[in-house]
Parts: sequence; C-alpha cells; structure tokens
Amino acid sequence: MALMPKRVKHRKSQRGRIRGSATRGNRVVFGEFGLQALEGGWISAATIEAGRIAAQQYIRGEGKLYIRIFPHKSITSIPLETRMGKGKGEPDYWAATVRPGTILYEIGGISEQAAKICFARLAHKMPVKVRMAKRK
Amino acid sequence: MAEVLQVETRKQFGKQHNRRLRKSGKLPAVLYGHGKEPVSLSLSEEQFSTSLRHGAKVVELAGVEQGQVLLQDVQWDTFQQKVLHVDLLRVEKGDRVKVEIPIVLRGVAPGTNEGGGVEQLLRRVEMETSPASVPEQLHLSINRLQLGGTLTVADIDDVPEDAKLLVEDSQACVQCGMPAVELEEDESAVEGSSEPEIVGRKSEDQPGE
Repeated sequence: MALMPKRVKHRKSQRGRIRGSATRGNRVVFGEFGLQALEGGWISAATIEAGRIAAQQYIRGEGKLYIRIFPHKSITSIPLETRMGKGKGEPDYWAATVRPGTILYEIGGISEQAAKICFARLAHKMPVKVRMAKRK
Repeated sequence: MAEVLQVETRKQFGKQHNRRLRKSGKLPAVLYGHGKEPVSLSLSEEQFSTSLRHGAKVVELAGVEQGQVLLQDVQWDTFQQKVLHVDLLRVEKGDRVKVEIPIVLRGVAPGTNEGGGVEQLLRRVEMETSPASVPEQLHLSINRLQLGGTLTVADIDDVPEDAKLLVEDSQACVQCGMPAVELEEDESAVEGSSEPEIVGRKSEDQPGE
C-alpha cells in the first residue's frame, strides 16, 4: 500500500511552485549513504514505494533503508473526455514535493559499493536527477 | 604535524564579494576567540579541502594570522559538496577545547555470522581535550560483538589520555541484532482507507446524524 497521510485538513491542495533549494532534509543523518535529488519535482507515493521495493530487493535484509520523504500533497486530475470547467478535479494520487538537495532515501549497514549499486537501481525509478551522497 | 593553512585578510564583505572570492578558488573565513577582535580572512579552498579530507580538527595558520586554530564550524552548500564559509577559533597551549569526533568501527562482529546486522547508534562523540591531542577519529573494535550484544562508549579503544568524553560511559554505541522481518501487508486491512480522514468533517455513517 502506497504512503498517504492519515488525516488532512483539506482534500485538495493548490499546485504551488517549487522555488529555491532544500535547506532542511539535505543531509544524510540516519544511514551512511543517501540519495539526493538534484532537481525539484513531485514524487508520487507509488514511485516512493517502487523505489523502496527496488532497494529492499537488492539489500535483502542486510542494512537498513530509510525513506526521508512523505507524500503530503494530494494531486487532483479531471477525468478524460470531460469538458473544461465544472471545478477542480478529484484527488488522483499523493505526492511528495521535493526541492533540489533533498535526501530521498538513506541506507546504513552496507558497504559503499553495495550502496552504489542499490542507489543506481533505485535512481531508475525516480522522476528527478539524483546523486549518491555520503554522511559528512 | 598539524596542517598549515595560508590566510589573507579579507576587506570586502557581503554575498557579492564572497561569491567572487569563491569563484577565484578562495573561501571566506572568520577567526575569533581568546578575547581578541574577530578577523575576516580568506583561505585557499584547495588547502582547506585537503585538511578536511585528512580529518584535521586543529590547523596551523600562516600568513597575516599565525598560531593554532580549531575548525569550529564549516558551512556547506545545499548539496553538501562545496564549502561556503569557515569559522576558526583561536586556541593556545593549555586550552581545553570541545570537539566532536567521529567513531569508526573496526573488525567484524561474530554476530553477523549468525545472521545479525551491526547497527551503529552513535556516530560522533563530543570530547573535551587539549588542542594538541585532538584525534581525527576514534576507533571501536567490534570483534567481540555477539548477536544481541551492545558496545558502549566505555568500549572505545583509543581515547587520548588527557581527553574526557562528554557522554555517559553507558551510552550504547553499536549493537548487533537480527534484521527486522518485513511483515506482509494485509490488503484487506487497508481496504476502505483509500482517502485520508478530513479533520473536522463528521463521518456520514455515524448513528444519529
């Protein structure tokens, strides 16, 4: 089951703009290696889950995977073949808003070489450019 | 032997000048401490990166300012790749300085042969020591870490003699445990929860509404 908030104040949210770079959540703090976004964007709950599965299938119980983002934003869409107007569409999926620099995932307890391979697999699932970051 | 950083006085301030400075391969820095006036400095980015890579905490200044300094703070850019600014603290012989030193694990835990995983709970430890004996890193041997076992701060091998750790000796540093088993999610349990609850909205199927 994809991630989703338990309670929200409003079902729908405005689109907003992704401006500037991440000033929080841009350091590796839980594990030893992290996957850092180099661009801003929305990462859907399904994509976060796909990344988690790709990473966990590779590490197979060794080490620990941390997901650093959460889909707080509901994204609406209007059905196909609908005339324009008649208000905002219905919530379609949930997404995390990511600014450049945000750490998306972290891994601890595995070697750097293994983390590199793991993040390479995970990066294929991501809709934004990413790089591997190390804990400072 | 301490790393040596060549420093120059910095007379122009502000983001515009600092950006130009960084483009020219230098870094803005500030030197303070010991009751003296703070001094704005610039230093070579290459030299400083080398010192950082070597894990130096205390460096020697050369040029307009001289003497030993502690790398008090380093500011990084968003991507944690480029250094933006450095804070240097004057230190002298006989001073006691507080520094955070990384803990590096050494060896192989016997517990991993039984299927366990090693988890490092504490990665840095604050210590008070003399500037001359600030270590680059502390080592903790995990060769005696059995499955289900824990090593504490007291087990750290190479704490310098005149250093005092500012954490309790009983604080857990590393543990070896079985990896958590992922529970298969019960699809039926999450059915009907395709939308989150709206704060303040009363449920339609509440009795008497």
